[in-house]
Amino acid sequence: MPKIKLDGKILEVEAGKTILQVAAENGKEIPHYCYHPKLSIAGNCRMCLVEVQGMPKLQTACSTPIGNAPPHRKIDEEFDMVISTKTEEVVESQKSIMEFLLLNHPLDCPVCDQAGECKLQDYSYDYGRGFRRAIEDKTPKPKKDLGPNISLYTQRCILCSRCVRFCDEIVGEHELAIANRGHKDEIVTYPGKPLKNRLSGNVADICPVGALVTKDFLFSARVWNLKHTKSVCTGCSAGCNIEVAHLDDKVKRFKPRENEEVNEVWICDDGRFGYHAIQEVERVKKPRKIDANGNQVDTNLRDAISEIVEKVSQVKKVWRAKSIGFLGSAHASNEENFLLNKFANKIIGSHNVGLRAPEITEDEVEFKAGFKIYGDKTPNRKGASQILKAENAYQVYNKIKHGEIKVLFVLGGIPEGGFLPEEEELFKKLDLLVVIDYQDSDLTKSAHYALGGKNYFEKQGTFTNVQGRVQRFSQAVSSQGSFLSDIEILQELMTAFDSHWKEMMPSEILIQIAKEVKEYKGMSLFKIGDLGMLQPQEVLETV
Amino acid sequence: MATKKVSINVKSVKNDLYLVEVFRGLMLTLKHFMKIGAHAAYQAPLERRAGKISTNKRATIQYPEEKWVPYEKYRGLHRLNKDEQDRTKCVACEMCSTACPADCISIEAERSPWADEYPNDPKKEKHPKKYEIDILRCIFCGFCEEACPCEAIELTEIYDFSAYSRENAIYDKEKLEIVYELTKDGKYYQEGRSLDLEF
Repeated sequence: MPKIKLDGKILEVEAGKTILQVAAENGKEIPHYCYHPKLSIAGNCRMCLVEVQGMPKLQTACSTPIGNAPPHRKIDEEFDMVISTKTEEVVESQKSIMEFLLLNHPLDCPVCDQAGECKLQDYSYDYGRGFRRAIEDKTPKPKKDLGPNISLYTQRCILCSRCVRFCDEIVGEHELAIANRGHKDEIVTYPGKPLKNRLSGNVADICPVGALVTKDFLFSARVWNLKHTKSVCTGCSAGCNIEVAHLDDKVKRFKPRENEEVNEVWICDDGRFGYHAIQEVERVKKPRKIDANGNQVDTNLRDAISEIVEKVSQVKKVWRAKSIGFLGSAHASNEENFLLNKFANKIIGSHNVGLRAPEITEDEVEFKAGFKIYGDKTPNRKGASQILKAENAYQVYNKIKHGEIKVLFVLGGIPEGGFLPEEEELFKKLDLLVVIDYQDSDLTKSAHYALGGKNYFEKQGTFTNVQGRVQRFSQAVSSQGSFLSDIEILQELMTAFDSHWKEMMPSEILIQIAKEVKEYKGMSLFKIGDLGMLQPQEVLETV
Repeated sequence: MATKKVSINVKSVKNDLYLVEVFRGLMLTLKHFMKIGAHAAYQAPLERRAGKISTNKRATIQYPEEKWVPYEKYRGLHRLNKDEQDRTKCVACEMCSTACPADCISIEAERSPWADEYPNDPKKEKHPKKYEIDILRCIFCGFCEEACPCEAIELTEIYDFSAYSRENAIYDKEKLEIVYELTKDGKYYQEGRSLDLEF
């Protein structure tokens, strides 16, 4: 192992690692723009120049590997490399590089969306000269449209080529390139081929300055005002780790959160812009019922529940418990599905439990670097089927068709809302349809009782992704719809049927799941943590 | 500067009686009461700006018939400045609301209607869709004015603004631009203008 000296600190490091990596591991910041841990090394921004003893010029820390020196070349007869990052020469070089980068930069920070999370701002403070010496005018460059989701402010660009390498190496579509020379060079797309790959939003994330921006977030908030909540994307069964950025109880954007096992540092555009589909829908704000005249009227939860209890007991008296059906949801959390299952098995005594989920209609897409978009567009199909012990809803549908099920409780949460195919005709046969769904759709409009609920920004719980990784999501915003969450509504119902039911918090429900469902053995919110917890493999294999 | 030591003989008849000091105070009051020809310090700007020497030399101002004109850097009601094309100067950067210690400014940005005229100038691309100042919360510190990179928000000399409801005390973009129109020549009180807003 090479022995090196980094700013006077003696370290023994693995050969082959770059100076930048070693410095970062040892808590020393070397400024850089073009280097990104997930992309190939370009070495073109020159910001990471450091002094290596014995080398005639300053070296780029991002591309200089640490290696063993032959015995007669060792410095002080002991070190393979002696690196200094703070010498006068390095500092002066950093100042000059910052000056070069800012030579044509418009300094429109007040209107730039990157302000607040901009590397150019940060490094100007830390390493810059602080004033401009050039008296020449800046070359104006226009704002360009690169594709359906991304705009390019050409003048802000510092040509680090991160976005070009991203499209080459991670996506494999080669959509971006750098054209022209000198002060005229800029990021371009090829004629007639806009940047429209399904990961295009990531180029705005990796852009160290405000050159590449998503049209979705443009002008919608200043980043220092945003609050961030750790969450999980519900766009598909991959369960990408995200940070929900929100302001004044409105979700403003999703940012990927690093999780090497799931999404590395990327998310797809479907997920990134998917929050609109959840946030901007009609909500069930109050519990509603269909009255004797067939009109939908507002009611309150207490009345609705007592009427449901009455009707269900009547049906149960005549047709027994097996006439009552339950449909869990692949868009509902593990906790909600678990409560529904408890409600069915323990309190009503029915085993007609199904899993309601849209059909998988899409194929899995894999990109060059291995990032996958799954065809299954539900976040929790695996978890829900493990907990409900049902793969689909066909059994329940069949029983409704044959008139065996008279009463149906449905857990919603599907972003598209409304009926799944066949359901509309089928549900007309029911004597009583109770829907717990945040979204106001034709399903909730035709339900005898629509009890409301919260969307997943407004509640907490866990999802199990396609790998069997249980990941938690937290409450980001306060409710814009009904007052109670799905879990609370379900427990109100359960308490009304059985006064011995002890109401639980979502975290307590997870502990209960861990006790009763073998795939979740030993799990708790604390153990799951921010990065999730993989279900034990030996259990999964025997299932 | 060295500290000057002053010794006061506390136990003196003069100090015990206070009589001398009382009379001296009363004499000062009498002097001001009788004074004709000397101006109260804060009345001087009124005359200077009005360009005439007032015949009324009393310190008392007959408000509201007569209005005090504040000195130049007085921090009163806000205004939102416009440029030569009669468009708002504000680019909705939220520097003011970030600097505001009372958290009384709320801004929502959007793409400006004139953005297409300036393809090379991002500074013209953004403007406030909503700009509201809650005057009831404002402490008139002037930090917003200082933070503004576009000289868009300014505090004016207007001090007599009041509202009958809390809603009316929230100044939105339209109201702030009306204030700009009224104060842009700096002669709000000299010309005897008043805020003609719905209160």
